[in-house]
Amino acid sequence: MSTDNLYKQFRLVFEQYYNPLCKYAYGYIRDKEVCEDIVQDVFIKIWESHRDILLIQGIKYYLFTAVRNNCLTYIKREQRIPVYSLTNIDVEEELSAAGTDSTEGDQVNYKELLNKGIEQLPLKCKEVFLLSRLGNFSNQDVANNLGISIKTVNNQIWKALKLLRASVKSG
Amino acid sequence: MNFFLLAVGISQKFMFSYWEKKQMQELPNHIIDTLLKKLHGTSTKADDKLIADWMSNHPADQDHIHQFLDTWKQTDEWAAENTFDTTFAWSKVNDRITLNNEFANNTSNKTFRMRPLLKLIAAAAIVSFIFSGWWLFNKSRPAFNTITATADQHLTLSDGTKVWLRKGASISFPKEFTDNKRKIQLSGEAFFDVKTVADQPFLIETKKGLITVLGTSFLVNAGAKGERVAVVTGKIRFADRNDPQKSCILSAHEEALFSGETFDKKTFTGTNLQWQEEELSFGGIRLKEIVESLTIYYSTAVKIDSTQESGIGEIAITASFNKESLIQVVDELTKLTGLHYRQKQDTIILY
Repeated sequence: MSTDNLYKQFRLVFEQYYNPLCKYAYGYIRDKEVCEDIVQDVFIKIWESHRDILLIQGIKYYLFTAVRNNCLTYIKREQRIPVYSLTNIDVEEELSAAGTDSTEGDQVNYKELLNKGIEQLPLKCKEVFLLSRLGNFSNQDVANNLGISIKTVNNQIWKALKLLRASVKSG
Repeated sequence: MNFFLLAVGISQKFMFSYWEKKQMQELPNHIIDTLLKKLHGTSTKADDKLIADWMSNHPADQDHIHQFLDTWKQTDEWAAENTFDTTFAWSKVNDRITLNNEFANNTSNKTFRMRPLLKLIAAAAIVSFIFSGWWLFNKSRPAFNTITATADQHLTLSDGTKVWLRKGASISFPKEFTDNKRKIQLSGEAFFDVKTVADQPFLIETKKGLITVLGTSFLVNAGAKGERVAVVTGKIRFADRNDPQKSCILSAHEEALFSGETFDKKTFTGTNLQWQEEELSFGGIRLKEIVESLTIYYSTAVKIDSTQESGIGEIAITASFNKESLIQVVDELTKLTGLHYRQKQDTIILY
């Protein structure tokens, strides 16, 4: 394939995956600029040294894995505690407790609540959920990608769904 | 102290799971698995029936199941929402890779190798990318701006090309020139100073004509009577839009009138342009901008001597000229500023 066509392909892949990848990174690092930098660097690296993978259907596996690894490297380098390391128990308790009173704030935008709910998902749960939803991966794909069993993936997605439902309802 | 905290943690977790159970009977595992299949869009008819049957037999779970489906739909919308600016990010990435490419141009063509085993997979991938690519292309076809000038108007296109639109002229151009040609549409009269971009010729489509440029300044009058193109600097090709074979080449100081049938080509003297019917007036305008205006107004190149110190261009001038010839205007300008001028071929240079 000519460089010209590869370039077109590169642009298509970029336009298709840029947003989901940034959102995925934002699950790990709550700084939009850093997330965008990480995703852009991944793409530039591909163009500079791995152009051949642009033609492979499974490129999204590579993209999501690369973004995740770079996020984790960034967190380690910056010696930052990842945003989700607030104890999971607190979050769960808060979410479920909030479910009991739904009297106030009919006007609250469910999108905001959903965003917040996603941000507050426990680590493993969030990892599975984001990969599944943003990459549009099947449960089997997620399991392979994260090296966990499909049973665990199912459980985590179900758990995420329950927590999110509760957080949207809590508005 | 640590011990105490830990104990609290455990009791909260216990309370939580207790509370959850009380709030809602957890669905049986086989129903959850089937529901997840449905959410992922991989459920069979039998699966759908299983869920429907379960709901009709367990009315208490109906609401819950519907809520799960709703939440899932909401997360779909959340995932599809564009919260990051892809267009801006692309321009950044594109700048970086093209900059790097200039340094590594020699190696760029031979980096691509493929193992035979991968070829089959790649072939399948290419097919699917062609489809998705076509769709994406249609979806993201660059937006066109259309501007109709209600008064004389100046604009700069995304490639740096400057356009002075004559009152009543209308121009359509993409926000960004992403194709291998920079193509715009024009009706009415406009002056162009086209930025040179190698391998990306600049094309102007008029009702009848097609003008191809590589970097130059010229005037187009795509009126109803006939279409006129006058070239101030550089070289262009003026062609029949419907029959591009039929064309003529115009160099500096040449103009052509295209009736739709033939090109009437003659030397262009820089007079009798519509622009000149209006008064030229400058209120505290810098000389370097006045020189640009004169170039358009008289369709004759007027410049400031580049060997002079740059301060000259900054001199602010207030003056108005009514139907005076270019030489008269330049003469008065030199009197105002204490500068001189000389004529070199068809260019007037202030120094």
